[in-house]
Amino acid sequence: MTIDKNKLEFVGKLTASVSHEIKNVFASIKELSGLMEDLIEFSDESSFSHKDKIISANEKINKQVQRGNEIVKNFNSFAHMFNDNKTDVNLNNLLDVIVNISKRFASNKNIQLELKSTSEDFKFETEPLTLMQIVFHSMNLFIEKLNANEKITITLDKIEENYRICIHSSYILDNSEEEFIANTNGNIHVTDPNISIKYLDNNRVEIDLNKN
Amino acid sequence: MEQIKILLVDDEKEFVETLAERIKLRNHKAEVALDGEEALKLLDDDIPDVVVLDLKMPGIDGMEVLRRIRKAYPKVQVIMLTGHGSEKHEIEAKELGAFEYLQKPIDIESLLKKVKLAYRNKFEKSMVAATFAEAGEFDTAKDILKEKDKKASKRKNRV
Repeated sequence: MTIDKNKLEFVGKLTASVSHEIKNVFASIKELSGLMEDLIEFSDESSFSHKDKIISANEKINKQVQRGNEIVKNFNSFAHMFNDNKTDVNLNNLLDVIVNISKRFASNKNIQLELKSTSEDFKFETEPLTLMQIVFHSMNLFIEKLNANEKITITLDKIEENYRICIHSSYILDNSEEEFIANTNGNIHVTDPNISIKYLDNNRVEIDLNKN
Repeated sequence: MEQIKILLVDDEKEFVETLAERIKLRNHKAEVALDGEEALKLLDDDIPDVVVLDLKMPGIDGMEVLRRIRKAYPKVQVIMLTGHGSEKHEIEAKELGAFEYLQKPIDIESLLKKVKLAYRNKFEKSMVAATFAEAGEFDTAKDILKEKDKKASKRKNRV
């Protein structure tokens, strides 16, 4: 399935705008909750009959704001990748966003997703949405088949001038490489000739990003 | 403790008024403007030490307000505080002379830490320039102000 480029950019722009507005809502809630905290702290202690309960409820509000903000942050980064054009993609950020968004799908089945990130920034020119689709599709292959308490590890390595994203499952699947490739090609339109995908040992997907 | 004069500019009324109240509770002065035009008017009446400025606002947007403040009031330090953050905007703001580019929501103590750093930066810059100005070296004083601005901008772009 291919989506019109303009429509994709339009959806991305709207999504980014909505997520910005949600960020503003969280910022207001955080300040109002902070003000309550301040008023308790700066006021005469005896004037609050349920002081501890108010403080505890306020801490919970703050935790939820923090949680909501993390979700919106990922969602916002995701929305900014809604384009088909080749661009200099920060691979660490891209993996961080797609792995965090996919955690919900994994945790519904009690499967753990672990991203082993690098401190070095790796950049690669490609279509960000396509690359995210490939990573998601590969993780999803394992998420759908794995049993509870299994783990999927995602790594990013530099191999000479090129990069490799590896999605490794703790469980051996029964899919063949032909099945995986056919399924991938049927779902994702990989137009970048510098991306190659391998399915190895029935438990590992390697996505090679070749600079030339 | 020094009392810093802060102007908060944001069209999110509840957010900015609550933030101002919390800043006042910490013994600093806080004024509120709900858009760029109001901010520029307030600046004409009473010059603050630090402006905390939102990026996306109706009317004149934050980037244009920043540009005008840096031109008309070069000593005023500007901290951008926005929910609309992108790397591109951050680079542009710092090139225009923003002291810091922060993302919403932010912890008030972290924000005030940056405000104090901005205030100190303004103060140090003025002190060095004043020393030369007192000695009659006005060109050197001007150069120091310009050079410090350039260095601060470059340093922030590297971060």
